[in-house]
Amino acid sequence: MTSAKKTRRFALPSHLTGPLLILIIAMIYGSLGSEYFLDPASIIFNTGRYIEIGLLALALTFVIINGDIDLSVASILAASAAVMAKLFAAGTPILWCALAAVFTGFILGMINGLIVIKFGLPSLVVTLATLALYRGLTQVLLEDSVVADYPESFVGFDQRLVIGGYPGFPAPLAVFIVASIIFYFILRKANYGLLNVMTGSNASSTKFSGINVNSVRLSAFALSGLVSGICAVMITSRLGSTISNVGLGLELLAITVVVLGGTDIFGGRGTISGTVVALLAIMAVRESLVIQDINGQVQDGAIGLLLILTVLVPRIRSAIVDNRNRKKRFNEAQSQIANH
Amino acid sequence: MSLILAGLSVASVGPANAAKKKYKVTYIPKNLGNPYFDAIVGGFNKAAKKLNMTVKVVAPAQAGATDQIPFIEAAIQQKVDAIAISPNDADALCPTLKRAMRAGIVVLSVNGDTTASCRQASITPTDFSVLGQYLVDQTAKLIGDKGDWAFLSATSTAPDQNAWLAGAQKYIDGGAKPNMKLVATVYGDDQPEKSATEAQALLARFPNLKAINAPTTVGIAAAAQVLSTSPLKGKVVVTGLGTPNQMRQYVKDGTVKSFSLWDPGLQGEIAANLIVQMKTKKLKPKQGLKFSITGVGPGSWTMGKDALIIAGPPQEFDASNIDKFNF
Repeated sequence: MTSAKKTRRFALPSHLTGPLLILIIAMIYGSLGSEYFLDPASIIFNTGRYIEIGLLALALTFVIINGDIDLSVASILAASAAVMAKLFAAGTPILWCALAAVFTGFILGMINGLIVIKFGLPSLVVTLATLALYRGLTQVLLEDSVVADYPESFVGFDQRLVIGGYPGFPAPLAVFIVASIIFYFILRKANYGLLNVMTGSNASSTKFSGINVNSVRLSAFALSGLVSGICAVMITSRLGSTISNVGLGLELLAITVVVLGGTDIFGGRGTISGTVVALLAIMAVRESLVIQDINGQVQDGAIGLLLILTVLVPRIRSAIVDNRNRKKRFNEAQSQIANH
Repeated sequence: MSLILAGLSVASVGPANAAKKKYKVTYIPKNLGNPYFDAIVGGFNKAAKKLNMTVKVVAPAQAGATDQIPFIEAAIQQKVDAIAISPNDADALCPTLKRAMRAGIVVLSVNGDTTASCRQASITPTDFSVLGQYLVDQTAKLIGDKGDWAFLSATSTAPDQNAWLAGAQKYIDGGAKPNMKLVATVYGDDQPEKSATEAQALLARFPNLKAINAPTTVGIAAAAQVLSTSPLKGKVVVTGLGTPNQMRQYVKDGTVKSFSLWDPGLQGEIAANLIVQMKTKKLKPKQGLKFSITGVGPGSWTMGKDALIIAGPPQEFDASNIDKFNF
């Protein structure tokens, strides 16, 4: 009895098995495929490129648990980056430009949420529209121009180390870890997370139990916008320049991370730990492929295949188990009838 | 047994190269599955066979500004000797390319440039500053320096084409080809249907039209397609800039006599050779530096401002040579 309890306590949460398995296999595959793969300094440094995706995925986890979706995150990022670039080009100090970018992200996220809630429209349609709208806004603001020449002190945030030496600890990774812990506690400990889950699993019954469903959903959209604004600042610092197609397609990568991490795309279920492990898994897959000189198309294909498998395998397994149980019950019933 | 193997490997490498280090080069085109960049890769491979070099080609699925960054970082991690890149963006790759140079890697841009401080030298396919003039002369040669002609360009805002058209106009205003009259410049927006419609409209509006010059690969193919089924085939000249693969059928059926572009492969050959010279001869690219490669293109080059290298003059294609090119 106690031993059974023990194994249960140490059992791996089921939503983590898929991404953890992918992470481990990718690490082995990469190490076998290239002598250069298992270089701690490179691995840690290369995380810098994925942190924006990771932060967007953290915020999207809340939105998706609510049963909503935000397809516009990369466009919010671009629009925020454009506001930042325009202000900088006009001579505004870089700190104010960065704050303006974060604020822009927050406002655009609020607009998403307000349209969804006030007009009762599906977030898929609303954010599909704002995906185009905010990107269009970016193109109007920046046209074909490039804003570069950001101050030295601002550029290269991703190459800065929080802890120096070898292998070192880069700033973006530190930001991501802190953000993950904050998001984890919001979702797990604070009532807000519970509300999210309730809203996602059954919005109308949650509403009738006296909970303001709309403010829960609205705050998730606002948070998603705010995080997109923060990512705009980070990506601008990393690239040292701004153009209108910045971050194009990032929303799909971020949503992939969330879904791979076991969050139900229909809402009601999801964890921050799942999203974090899924980000690590995707990072490992991409890095293990790119170090072996495998081209972009194949990398995209591999991620797609893994996503399908992660979602499909548990479904197939439970279908098989269900089927077996049904047969068992059927046989029991048959034998009972026979006994009579 | 091991002695025989050792003997064999020395024989296959050649005694002079046996002791030398094999250079590792990564070339990153804008994207894959593009015959134009395949031709550049062909140039790299052709040169690598003669040099002591392995060339790897990797590219992202999309041509987004930042999509090449993971491939540059992987090359740094693999400690390659050189990275050659056809950049998708002049600025966004800068921090990563600078990191590569700090790691002691030779960085060249090929067929497109980044900010000058982010690479050591840049190879450009041809001298675009005289291309406008070239387009006028190209047309003149085909119509005997005389008659009405028109431009069928890309979009009215295309920066490359607009620069060439301005160059052509300046050349004409300066008194070149006085018996030729540029009657119109129309825009096909680099869409096949729109370009074909514009070409048809030119033929209808100007009955004395002798030539259409389309300095865009979409435009020239559309104009050739219109002419190939028109009674004016063989009477009105179509020329400009196009790729051999798109234009082959129109050259074979006599619609088009000759057209031009440049030889993209030449850039790959120059890049591969330059990398080896930078490594072995400690060549430091800068304005005014001369270098030569025997048996490749013009054979010798002088670097321009910011170590810019012009690969060669435009390449003319006609029935006699078109089958030698595949892009």
